[in-house]
Amino acid sequence: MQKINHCFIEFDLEFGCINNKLMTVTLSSGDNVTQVQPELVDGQYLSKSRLYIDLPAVVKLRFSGKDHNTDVIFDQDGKITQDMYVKILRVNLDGFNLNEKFIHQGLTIDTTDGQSWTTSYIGFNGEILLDLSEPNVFLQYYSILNR
Amino acid sequence: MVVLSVPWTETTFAIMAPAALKPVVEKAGLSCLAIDLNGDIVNLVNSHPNREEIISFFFDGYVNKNIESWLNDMFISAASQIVSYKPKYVGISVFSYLGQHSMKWLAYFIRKLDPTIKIIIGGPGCLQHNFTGPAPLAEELVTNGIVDYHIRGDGEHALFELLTGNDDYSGINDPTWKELNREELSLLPIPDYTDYDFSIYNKKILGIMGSRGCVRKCKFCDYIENWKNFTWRTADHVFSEMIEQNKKYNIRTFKFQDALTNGNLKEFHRFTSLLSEYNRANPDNSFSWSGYYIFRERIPTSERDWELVAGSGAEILIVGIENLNEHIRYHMGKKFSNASIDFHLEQAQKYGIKINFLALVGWVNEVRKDIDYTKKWLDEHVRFKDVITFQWGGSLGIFTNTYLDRHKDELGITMIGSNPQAWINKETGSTPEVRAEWVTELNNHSKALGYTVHERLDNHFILETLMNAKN
Repeated sequence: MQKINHCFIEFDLEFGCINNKLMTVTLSSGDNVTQVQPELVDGQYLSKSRLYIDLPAVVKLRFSGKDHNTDVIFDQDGKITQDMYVKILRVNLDGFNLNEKFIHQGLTIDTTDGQSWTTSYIGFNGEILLDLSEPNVFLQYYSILNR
Repeated sequence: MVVLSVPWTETTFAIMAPAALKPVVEKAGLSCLAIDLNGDIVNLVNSHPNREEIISFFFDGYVNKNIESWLNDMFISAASQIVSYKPKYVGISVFSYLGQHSMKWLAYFIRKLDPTIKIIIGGPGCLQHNFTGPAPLAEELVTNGIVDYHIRGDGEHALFELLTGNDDYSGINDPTWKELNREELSLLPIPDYTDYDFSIYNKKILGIMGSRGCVRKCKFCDYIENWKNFTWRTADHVFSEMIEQNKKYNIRTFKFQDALTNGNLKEFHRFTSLLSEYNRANPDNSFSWSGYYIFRERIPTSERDWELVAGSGAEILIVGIENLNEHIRYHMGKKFSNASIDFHLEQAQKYGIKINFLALVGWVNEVRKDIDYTKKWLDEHVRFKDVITFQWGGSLGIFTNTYLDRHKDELGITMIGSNPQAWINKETGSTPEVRAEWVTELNNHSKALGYTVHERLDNHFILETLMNAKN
């Protein structure tokens, strides 16, 4: 019999490329670590990554590799014309869609320079910590939805 | 195999589907346990201190702190019980959209506990707007691997084919499906309720099915868009099922679960004659029945027909009267006069038969004066308040693939949202808010006159959804 708290969390991500470089994204929970591997699909770097966890769990998304001096391109007016970024397109827990909370309302990233942003567009190096503190997907799903 | 119904369907008797499918499964060579899970859960919830909040979950999927642990335990416990039988297949029958949350979580936990069990879902509740249109939840569950098969439409033959190895059969993970024809309908085995616990119900009642489809072509109806043909079982066949079920379960009250009992008049006359004869000969074990019934225009034999209906043990006839304005009924495709309604009500009163009127408020051309006429009709027919009960509905919805849906432009209908009730008619000024007010007005007026009014929870839900969408 399978453990009732064993499940997966899945992220669909879009990557903004600068000078053939992408941000590095790592998903982890405890010792379980997955390096996200983007693929070029119709001119756009995309990834679909699944991390298996046992609830309750803390899931960490680590974003790195962006140099703010070289990986953001501005025009003469100071507007950004090209950016290295990661956009979170879709999040689901064992197949249950969490986009409403995690995409539309955003996730909070603590950046390496000590700031905090709630967004689904990640343009900084930093970490998102998801505290999935419930013992199974049913309770966790509604706990997130009712936040 | 385990076949079960899922909550929420508030009903005074057990849902038929698991009992109807049990002999189909057995015919396919598997043993089968038919579980009336809906009945068990409804029974539990009705005595729960957070009853309203739990029922609300089945409507909108909202879970608050008061009920999350109860719901979690309920789903895990039900799934664990089902898995403990070690079935090869689990079939989940979803009667209405109110069963979608249960279907989803029950399937999820069964899959979690034992991924080797094949899960099959079916029933009108798997679809977005009843029988027609897309089935996004069912498709999502199949895509996500929570469910293996979604059976659409008539499920008896599709289930048999699936269990005997033909999962390419029409209706299995397939938007098209094949209606049972009359011969196939008459060959269906009779439902087996052996596994049901009737003690959870106040009165012992059995569901029965005599036909599929409808003889009328009402413009609002989505049911006829799938069941294109009216098919029926013979009166003798239905009557013999009643006799057999009575012998087996000592049940004497039957509720027809089809769209109408008197679609085929020849068979209906035969049926009421057989039952009248039986009831006269067996006064201590007489049968009674209720079901959907259509009013027709009065003809010379109508009085004799009512005598047979009464003798056959008819208790409650559910009549889709839809509107008390004759011109609106004609526009809908229901061509019987108000004079005939009066005649039928007099006959029902004479024999003590209850008539449950189902109404649709806010027809595409309905205006204020029609609501005023309805109120006048109610005033003038108070003498029938012991006969009629009303269900004013949640106002007219435009369902996918119906005549109304296909003729929106010429009828002046403009959709303003994805909800079937979200439409306006600029010419008449009909809006969801106006129609919701009309429903409330007719509810209140008929109650004030002393009529019995059934206010359905899902209608409140529809109105609330519209109000929330507006805000």
